[in-house]
Amino acid sequence: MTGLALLLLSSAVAFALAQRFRLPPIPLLILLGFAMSRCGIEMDRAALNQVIDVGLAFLVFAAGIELNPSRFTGQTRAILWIGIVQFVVTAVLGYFLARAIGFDDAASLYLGVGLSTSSTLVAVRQLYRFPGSLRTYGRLVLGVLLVQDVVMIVFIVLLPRFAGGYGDLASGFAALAIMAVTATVCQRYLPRLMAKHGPPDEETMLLCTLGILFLFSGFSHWMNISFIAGGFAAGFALSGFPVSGEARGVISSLNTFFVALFFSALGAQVEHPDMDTFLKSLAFAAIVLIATPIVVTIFAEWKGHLSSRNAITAGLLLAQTSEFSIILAVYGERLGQISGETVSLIALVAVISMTLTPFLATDAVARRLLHLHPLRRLMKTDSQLSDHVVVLGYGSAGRWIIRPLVASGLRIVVIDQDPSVIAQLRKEGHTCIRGDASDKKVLLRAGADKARFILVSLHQVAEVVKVIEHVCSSVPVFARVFEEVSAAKVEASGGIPILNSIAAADRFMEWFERAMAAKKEATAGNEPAASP
Amino acid sequence: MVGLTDTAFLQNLGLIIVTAALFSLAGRRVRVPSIVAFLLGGLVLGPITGLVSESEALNLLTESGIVLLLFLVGLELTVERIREVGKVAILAGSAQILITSLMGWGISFGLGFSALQSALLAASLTISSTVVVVTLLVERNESSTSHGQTVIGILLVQDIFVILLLTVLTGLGGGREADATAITAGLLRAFGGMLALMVLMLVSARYLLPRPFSWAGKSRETIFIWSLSWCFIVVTAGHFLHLSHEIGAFLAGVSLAQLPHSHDLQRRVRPLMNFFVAIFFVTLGIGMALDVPSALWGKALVLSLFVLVGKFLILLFIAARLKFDARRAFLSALLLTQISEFSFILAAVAKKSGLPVGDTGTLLGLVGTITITFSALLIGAREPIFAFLTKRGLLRAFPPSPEAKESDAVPLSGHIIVIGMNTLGRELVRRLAARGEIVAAADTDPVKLRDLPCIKVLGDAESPAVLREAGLGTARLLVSTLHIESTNDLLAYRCRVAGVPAAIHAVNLREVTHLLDMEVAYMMSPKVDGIQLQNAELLRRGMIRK
Repeated sequence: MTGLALLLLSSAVAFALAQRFRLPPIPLLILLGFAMSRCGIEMDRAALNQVIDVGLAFLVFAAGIELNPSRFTGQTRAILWIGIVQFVVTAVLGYFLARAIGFDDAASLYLGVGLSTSSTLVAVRQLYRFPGSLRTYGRLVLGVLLVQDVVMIVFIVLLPRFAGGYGDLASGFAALAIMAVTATVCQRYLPRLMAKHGPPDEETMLLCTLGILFLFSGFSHWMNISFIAGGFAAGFALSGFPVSGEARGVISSLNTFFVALFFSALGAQVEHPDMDTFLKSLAFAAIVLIATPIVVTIFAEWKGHLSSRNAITAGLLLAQTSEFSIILAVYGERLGQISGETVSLIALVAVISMTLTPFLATDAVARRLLHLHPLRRLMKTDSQLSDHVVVLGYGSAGRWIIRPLVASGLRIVVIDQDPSVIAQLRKEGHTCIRGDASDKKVLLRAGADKARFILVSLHQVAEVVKVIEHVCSSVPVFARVFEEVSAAKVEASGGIPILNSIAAADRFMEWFERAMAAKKEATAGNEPAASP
Repeated sequence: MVGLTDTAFLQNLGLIIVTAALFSLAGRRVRVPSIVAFLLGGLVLGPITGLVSESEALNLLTESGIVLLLFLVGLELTVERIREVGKVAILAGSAQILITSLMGWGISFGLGFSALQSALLAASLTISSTVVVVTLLVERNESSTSHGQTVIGILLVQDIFVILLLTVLTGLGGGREADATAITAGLLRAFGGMLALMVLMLVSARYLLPRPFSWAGKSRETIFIWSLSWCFIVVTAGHFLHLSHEIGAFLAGVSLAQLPHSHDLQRRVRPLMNFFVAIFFVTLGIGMALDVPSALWGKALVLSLFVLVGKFLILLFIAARLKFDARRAFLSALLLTQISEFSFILAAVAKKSGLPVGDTGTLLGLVGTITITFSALLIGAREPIFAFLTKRGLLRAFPPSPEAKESDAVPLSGHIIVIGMNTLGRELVRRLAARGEIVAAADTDPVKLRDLPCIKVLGDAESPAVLREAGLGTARLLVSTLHIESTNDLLAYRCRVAGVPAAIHAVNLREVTHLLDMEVAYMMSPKVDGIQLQNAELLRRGMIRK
């Protein structure tokens, strides 16, 4: 009990520091767990291992629940491209660096593979700091993270079998396939079951969710592959809508609890790295921090059709190693394939790269890197433009914007990042620029300073303010924003805010009044009442 | 090759969880309380098949379960509530202990046990099981009702009694003859420790905790880990003061109950507690011994009957003296008709102290299994029993129960739930309230809920408990203004299941299949609405033609 209290205490401190300095909690949890063990607080190793086991199961399980392929329709190809190329490139670089430094074959393999996945927990946290990112590159990033997780699970199953020759590998593959098929069947079947019987109460849902987790883990154990694969498959089995929502709800606090304990316990077990290990970890972290953004940027632009800036941001978001790397390392050590030193090296790389993510994956860094981009695309446009209307951000409802403009006989120039939008508009004969709307050069190209007025809808209010500053208040800028705070900022910088939220509230109330009136009528005429 | 890893612990845990899930599903079919289902599951895993045996590793999990359970109970108690029930609980608890232990001693002595053994049995029969009772209460959302809090108060008084008993028993041990000074010192220390911890908790609840916790409350993860860590630290501190885990956890909960986040914390701790408590009961079943001589069975049945009927009557008698109303008296008495898992510990400690306890340990195990099972079944069937007793006029001695005063919360009905207090959500709450609607607003951030004219629910809308608190079942409409697609889809689904119309923010206009499938009543699309407002504005300024 005292041990548990200590682990929780160090987690509490880690969460406090994470909140205070806006850092991801994982590296801090590891560091504080480590610091605690260094302070001479001895903990029962067997108990720590049990905490790690349960934490592992929950960690992979929660990752699996997010793995619903239908969330990524339309982007699957791009996601697979980016995920796999990134994985291979980083793994190969990591492997050769490890060999060059003098690690043996097995350790190099673990180090290489360990470098090549990015952390879902860290990247997603950072992703939420970019409002609107989920509608552009966010899905792509989430998809890539899941592909990496799947590849990692395959490696966790197969790595221990490399020594055993092809027969061993083949049996591992077979076991994985059986597991995947079982999970897929469940994934399809469980939502139907729930639709038929209705959602169970929370206690039953919790027990069933955990029951499935342990059934799959037991199944994988029985097939002689790691229980980690079973946990992940169990998560996937529960990923269908709406089962995933119910499951996520009931296990979320268990997950927070065990995952926090997992990383603290892990930190408490890591060996003290010497100077040599520390330097090595810097070298490996450099690979992740440099190679990953480059590879992801190239493929996100090429295959994912993202704008350069979004592609760079996506690359930066993925530039860290993952909790799965640590899982792999722990597992490798338990199997006796790698030493404790290699485990601390992998953990150290994770700590370094994860801690850097909130500083690197920012808008400011992405903008700065944009200048290094060799293929910064700027389309030619008519530089004689004047008295036209510039539309920044077309999005999914852009047709509604340009129709009255065109009907009024105005000339329009649309700036957007989505190539498919641009292609469609060109086909219809409109002038378009594909690019970053808050980039001054792009704005000048669109003749924004000589426009009649500008209509802006961008995800971040800071970008809107930049646009207003660029055109120097000579042109009226209408900016559609959602929050009152953003409207105040737009107004303060000289723009004209249009509050989407208030417009939606007006519309909602109109509907509500209509529905109420209809209901009144219906009850008066003794007809079944309409909603609400 | 995986054999290199020690997976015995995970395997055991897995077996326990899977069994718990299967038995509780089956139990639900035949309306058996989950506690009984878990115990039966444990019996199958342990004494019957021998698949799992008790182990040290599982102990930590079961202990954590008890800690979280009491922490949760503490979280629900505000200081006023303690003042309200405190006195009654102390009176009823002490009287119950006195009467039951005297009668219990008499019966045990009559069954042929030695005076000392009878004393041990009597003490064990007196104590009811905190875990069983509180699980039953929490399961039925009754822990903050008047009978719930009375019973919890009595249980805590019993808990103090157990600590005193353990102190005495440990003092008796070591081969010495009853060392009076050592025992007195031990008792003083226990009382002193309890007093110290109580004062410490009250002071920290008032001065130490509010500020840091309201800072931590900005992130739900941080405050959750903080409160768990606070709970286990207090438990550890209590341990050093020779206090039980239960008392430490309970006091830790009470000290956090005064925070504005306590409701959200309760909801978050609950699934964690459920997980551990399921393990607790299955493990309890695993530890039961079934192969006992038939002579012992007879004695066990007599003692069980005493606990189930005698204790019930004793408690009813006390309740009548304290002028409880019929319902409160009946439920409080019925809830306490079992013996505690503590009894086994008591017997073990006595044995360790070198006292001639004989087979009382095994006997108490049997009585425990029987009474816990039957009291859970009886509590499951309490409404018909209560109706029967009232009809026969057997509860005439009690003043009639006040109608529908069971819970303090006014039942919400015909109201509108608004989820997500962004600009749109807050605006809708204001406008709907101005129109005279009753509005329940939910958000994870207490700051955003501030100064809104509505009922406030702090918590994550994905959690069914939050929706229950917002009264989804009886609502007229649910509105979600959230920007999170997956949560909105889930809310649409929950509304459909509950048969409540939903107005949901369509975040991604290209991806509304789920919302269409769930037949939402209205889809909000601020983007489109904003464009139309913009067009109206352009028209007004003469920038475009109609």
